[in-house]
Formats: sequence, C-alpha cells, structure tokens
Amino acid sequence: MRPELKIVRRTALVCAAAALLAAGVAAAHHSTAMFDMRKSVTLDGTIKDFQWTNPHTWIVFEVPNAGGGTDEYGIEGMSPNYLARNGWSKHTLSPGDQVELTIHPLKDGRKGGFNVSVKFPDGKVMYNLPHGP
Amino acid sequence: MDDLGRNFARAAALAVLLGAGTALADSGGGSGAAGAQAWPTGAAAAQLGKPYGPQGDTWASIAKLPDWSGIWQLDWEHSRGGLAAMRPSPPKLLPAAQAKLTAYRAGQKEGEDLQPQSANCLPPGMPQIMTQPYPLEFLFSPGKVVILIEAYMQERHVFTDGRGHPSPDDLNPGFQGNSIGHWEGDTLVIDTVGFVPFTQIAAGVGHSDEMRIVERIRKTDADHMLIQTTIIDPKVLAAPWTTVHPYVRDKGELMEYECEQNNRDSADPEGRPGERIGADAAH
Repeated sequence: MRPELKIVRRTALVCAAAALLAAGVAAAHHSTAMFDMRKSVTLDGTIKDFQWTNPHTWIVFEVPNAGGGTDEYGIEGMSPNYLARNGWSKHTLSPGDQVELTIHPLKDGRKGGFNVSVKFPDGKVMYNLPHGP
Repeated sequence: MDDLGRNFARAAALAVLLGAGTALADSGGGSGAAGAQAWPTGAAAAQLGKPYGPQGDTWASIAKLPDWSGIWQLDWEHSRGGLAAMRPSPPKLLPAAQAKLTAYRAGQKEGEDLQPQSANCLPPGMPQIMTQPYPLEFLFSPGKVVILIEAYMQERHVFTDGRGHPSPDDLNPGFQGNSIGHWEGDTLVIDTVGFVPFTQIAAGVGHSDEMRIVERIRKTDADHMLIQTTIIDPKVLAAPWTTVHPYVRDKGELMEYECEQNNRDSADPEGRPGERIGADAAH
C-alpha cells in the first residue's frame, strides 16, 4: 500500500473512532454525553474487577489517594463483542493487575469515566477503540 | 490543500456522518462499487422491481442463490471505490418535521435528548438497527430470509414466498416492521412497513404511520456487500431518502448481546443521561 494511503487509513480509523464515539454510534446503545470526551485523565492503580459483560465492559479500579488509602473508580468500556474483535478477551485484565488507565472523566465529577486505553507494566497498550495498525 | 489533506478531510467528513448514523447517500451511481451503479436512484429507488432468477422457495433454489454465509460488519473503515466515491446528504424534511428537529436540537442545548431511550435497552428498530457497530448474519430457508442482528439480539424475517403485507387493519406495528422480499438476480429487494412510533429515521427525526423502507442488498465481491436503504415517508420526508452502507465479511460468529445484563446507562423521559458507577454488576 502506498505510504500516504496507509496514513489516511490510520487517520481515518482514529477519526472514525472518535467521530463514531462523539455521535454515539460506536457506543451503540447510548451516547457518551455524560463523559468529557475532550479531556483525558491518566490514573495509576490496581484492577479490582473486570466485568466482561454487555452492554459495556466495566473496570473497577483502585487508585491510591493523598490520604494514604485508595479511591474506587468505575470505568466503562466497549462491549465485549466489540473488544473481542479488537484483540481483547476476558483475560486482558485480572484482579490485582497494576496498570495505567487513561479515561475520559465523568462530567459530574464522580470517580468514573470512559476508557481510552490501558498501559501494562511491560509498556504494551490496549485501546478501548481501535487505534489502527 | 494537498492530496493527503483532501483525503484526510474526506475521511473525517465520512467518519462524522457515519458516526451520526446518517451514513452515506447514494449520489446516483457514485456509491463506489460496480453493480451499485445499476441500482435505481432517486424516486425510482422507492419502487420495487420484478422478481427474476432463483427465489429461494426450495432448498434446491436456495443452492443457486449467492453465498451470504458468515457474519457481516458495517465496513466504515473503507469502501470499495474509495472514500471519494461516497458523498453524504441528510434527508430533506417537510416543514413540520424540520420544526421538530429544530426543537430537538434546541432541547439538546438544555441537556435534553442527549441520551436515546436505547440507553434503557429498548432496541432502536428499523432503520437504525441495521447500522449498529455489530455484525449481521443472513439465514436462508425456503420462502424466507432471516436477518440476525447481534445488537440487542434482534431478528428480521423477510418473507420471500410471494405473500403481500397484511392489510392495514391486520398489520401490527413492530420495531422491525413487516418485511416481504424477492430476488432480482443476485439482489435481495425488501419492502418493509408497519413500525411502532418509537423508531427513528435519524436522530431527532421520527416517522409517520406511512413510513416504508425499501432495501436492496447484494454482494459486490466474495467478501463485500452493499445495502441500499430508501426511506419513504410522505408525511415527514420531502423526498425518499436513500443511503448506501458497505459491509465486509468477518471471521467468527454472532455473539450474545443481552443489553440489560450489566446496563449502567440510563435516559430519563426527557433523554437526560444517567450512569450507575457502583462496583456491583447488575446481573
């Protein structure tokens, strides 16, 4: 494939993903209106639970707080049907995994958001929406 | 703007319109695949042709139909003929429908209608059920084509045994509607009527009791398919609205999709979004 076509494809994928998301099609059964889609927040913490369910996968994430304890975050992901077709499985995250989550936070300030990506200790990154080749 | 910039702009425009669920209008032969140019466009797209070729009324006849086995995903990444071949155009609305759309958009600025009722796990119905980011599967049996839709685990039964629609007195409106169809060579032509008020032509655009949907489905090569959808609604649309969506055959099978399994999203009656973030799964 010519290099410029490859770039367009990758860009189109990222654009398509972002646009699909912004207009709600990628989220399928709901819009993402409750998340601040223009803001990304990165959190280091530990997986407490990974719910491999429809209509959305759900990550329960424990993040150390300033008081020496942890805060519990609820992070929404794409459907397992969608993720399974993009390299994920129910084994991708397990309780006890220490990862870095990047999310679009809830607008109402509660501890939650929409998953953007997961970065593992070995540097590998998995995306909630396809990133492209 | 250089070529790369133009392609980027086209890709972005395409992505935005796919994202809005309005897909891509058939620009009159420019839908980017050989064979789609033979499809009727404009008002003619609302007409059904005459059946010819095998009609799938027996297993022997089904064996002569094209191979639609496997699962088919909306192919938003690329289309045959390239992005340049697809041009979007939104539906032309009659004044009353346009006024409703304007009010819908004004409501959105006030926080209403930001979340569709499908967040409460009501399936969207026709036509939007056909363009969810989940695959379809086509099952042939004598006199019928069943379209399985992974999103919300829906099914559409297309009767190809020559029957007509029920009379208006007997017709029960549904989310999928009542579908009859026939084969014109390698193209399945479907005519669907009888929809519950809940379904939408597009976000903020409802339909009347006269909505009718005509679809033409054919493969353009072994692993690619086009679905041309024409929506006719003389009380809502100024003219029939035609869109074309490309699909690509995917590996694997349809999966379950039980929407209420762990649904954390909600829409109140005015369409304001809610989100349940506690750790416990619903089911």
